[in-house]
Amino acid sequence: MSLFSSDHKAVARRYLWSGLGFLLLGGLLALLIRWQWAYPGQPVPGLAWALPESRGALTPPAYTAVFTMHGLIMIFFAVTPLLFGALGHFVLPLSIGARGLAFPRLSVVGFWLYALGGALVLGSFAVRLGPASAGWTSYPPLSTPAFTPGLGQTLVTVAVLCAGASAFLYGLNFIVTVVRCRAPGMTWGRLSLTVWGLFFASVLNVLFVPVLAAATALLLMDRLLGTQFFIAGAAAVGGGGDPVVYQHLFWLFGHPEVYILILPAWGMVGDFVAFFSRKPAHGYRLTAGAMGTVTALSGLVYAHHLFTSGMSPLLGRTFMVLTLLISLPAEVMYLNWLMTLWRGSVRLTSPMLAALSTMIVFGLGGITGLSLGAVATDVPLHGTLWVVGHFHLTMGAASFLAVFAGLYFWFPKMFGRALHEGLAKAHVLSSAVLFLGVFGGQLAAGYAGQLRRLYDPYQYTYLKHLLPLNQWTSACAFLLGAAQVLFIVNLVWTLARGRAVGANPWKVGTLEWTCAPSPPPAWNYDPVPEVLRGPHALSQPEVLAQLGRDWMGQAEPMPDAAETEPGPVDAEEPGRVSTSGGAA
Amino acid sequence: MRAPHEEEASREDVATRWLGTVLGLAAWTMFFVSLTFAVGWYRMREPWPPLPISTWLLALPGLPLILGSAVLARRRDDARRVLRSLKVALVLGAAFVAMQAAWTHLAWWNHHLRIPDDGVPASAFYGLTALHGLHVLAVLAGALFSAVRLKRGADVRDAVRRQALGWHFVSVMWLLLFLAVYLP
Repeated sequence: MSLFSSDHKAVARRYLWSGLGFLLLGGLLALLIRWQWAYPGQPVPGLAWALPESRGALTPPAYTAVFTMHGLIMIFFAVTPLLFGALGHFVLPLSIGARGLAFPRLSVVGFWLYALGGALVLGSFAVRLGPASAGWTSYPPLSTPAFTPGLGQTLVTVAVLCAGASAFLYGLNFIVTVVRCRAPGMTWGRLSLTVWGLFFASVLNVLFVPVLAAATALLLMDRLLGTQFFIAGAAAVGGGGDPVVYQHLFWLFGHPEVYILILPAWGMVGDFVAFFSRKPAHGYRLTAGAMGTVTALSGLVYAHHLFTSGMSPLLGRTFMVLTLLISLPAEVMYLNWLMTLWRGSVRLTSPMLAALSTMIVFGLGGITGLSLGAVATDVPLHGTLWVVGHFHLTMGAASFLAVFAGLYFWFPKMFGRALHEGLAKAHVLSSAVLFLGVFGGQLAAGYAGQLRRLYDPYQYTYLKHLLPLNQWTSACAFLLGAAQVLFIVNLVWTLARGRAVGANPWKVGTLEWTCAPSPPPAWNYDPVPEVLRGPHALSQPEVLAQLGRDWMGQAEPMPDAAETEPGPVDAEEPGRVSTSGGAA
Repeated sequence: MRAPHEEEASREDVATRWLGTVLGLAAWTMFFVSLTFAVGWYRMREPWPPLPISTWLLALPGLPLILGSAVLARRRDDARRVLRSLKVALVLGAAFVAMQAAWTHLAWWNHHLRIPDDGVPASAFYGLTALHGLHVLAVLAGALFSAVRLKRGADVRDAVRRQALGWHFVSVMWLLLFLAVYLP
């Protein structure tokens, strides 16, 4: 009955395997796009079985379907399920000292909704006219039956609705779990930053996924029942509707969605830089507060996706200011990470390398995004590969690397076996460098004016000279794909015969490492631990003096805490780090 | 699987489920807010033609919804009286669904308000009525489920309390629907 077990760790494993499967599929689709841009219209080696009529070359409709499905699969079926479904379901209850999620059966329903959506996505590849091909955003009128008549588009629209329903359910589940199920003593100020990130992202999930559901429901009615909400042009009847309404609704969801994809990543980076600098997170409260501010602002910036849609310039200016404002809390958080690293004793473990890579690619993605938040620079860059490079650095590369940071970190807890560190580090480093190659190449091509989604960009004279650049970019992408073999080998080998690990291989103090074996039993904790301090009590002088180690469990009492007063010598000790916030 | 200490936790579970219902419904409001936003956009674009059904008739289904809210809002401890209020609520809900079905039927067959011919107003009238109706049906299914469980001797007071919240939710959302779509 493991497929229907409601233990949060079993649900997490189900999400993990299906999410990794979809990540592989989405990645292969990305390589097809890159092939097309490097060798337009030439047969893809080994694809003749799928596209026999063109001997394996991507035809324009096939290409359109490929980039559409790449985006949809990555966002709704790979990265979100890996961040929330796998890591969130596994870590969140353990980290707050809960025995499970608040609504275990709901999490099972959520997974099977997601699985149904996944089945529809896979099924859509087999129907006549292929899968969805209106872009991952499904903008009407392109996504209406007049332009995309196939059954595939409908199936995928329903699939997105299923994935959305599942996201709403686990978002709600996570919020209620954090509010109601924390262990005694686990105050809000003692939550790990990962939990803060997941919590804020869950708030965004429950608030904005219903908006996507509304937009998608209207679109489905347009496709199936003949309603006229988004129909325009020659296909319109009775005056027609307005496609721009869909754009507003979609981005009212879509922009919070990018924060949904990055907030858990930020949380993990915040924790990992503290854990592996052996220091309390600098400005813990400020970091959590900054994530909260970003969450609050993220619903107020969406129309920067619509600067060129004919929106009122006054609105454009408003949304520009709000958008640029959001970089301030993000910078506060980023500086806190850097301050945590500063003068720490940094251990370059695989999760730490992945967290640092996340910081770098996210930083570049954030900076390149400023030019898209400002109206004057967005107008020429809109719809170019610059946009694609920007958002792939943030929600592609950064979220991907954060997923692997989390996976490398919690894998020993999930399966009781340690992945091979060398392979893991090689995977992280090669992925990070190649990500910069791929998305840096896209930024350059976009800055040179290459529009995204072009089937053959070199039909335009002014883009002809970009062929070598695109071929180099594609080479990086193929190498990036190949680098993932390092992970697959590591995963298979470790699951088969990896080294068994103890309860706390990373020597950190959070509950899942200090109060539960690896892997934890069905009910996580017995008895439920009583939390005494924050998640980053690292390198505390009194702990060093009394226990001879630089970490201390969140629920671990100090020996003779009542009798021994911390000596005044400790306070004067050179190199003593600030313990405010995270260590409290 | 049962938790080692689940018996002690049962009281807490009720509060947890209540919180989940409150937050879930509050968040799901965004679904109807988005639909209202869309309709508001179309109404700002051009005049909204009056629907063929009188506004008074369209307002009438609100009555059973509000009555149902009132019936379910009263907390009762006696199982027989809980069952009676569930039955009354189910009848009221059926009356609501019947009226909505009647008005859409009349509009379609007698007044020839058609999809797609009549554009966005007809789409909004039928489409949003249907989306709201699906929510009402879900709430009614929950009430029916509770009534059946009650007949079999289960204690459903907490479940009914959460279903009452669902009922209030669809009542308020119907008001939103009325303001957005049904008012001329």
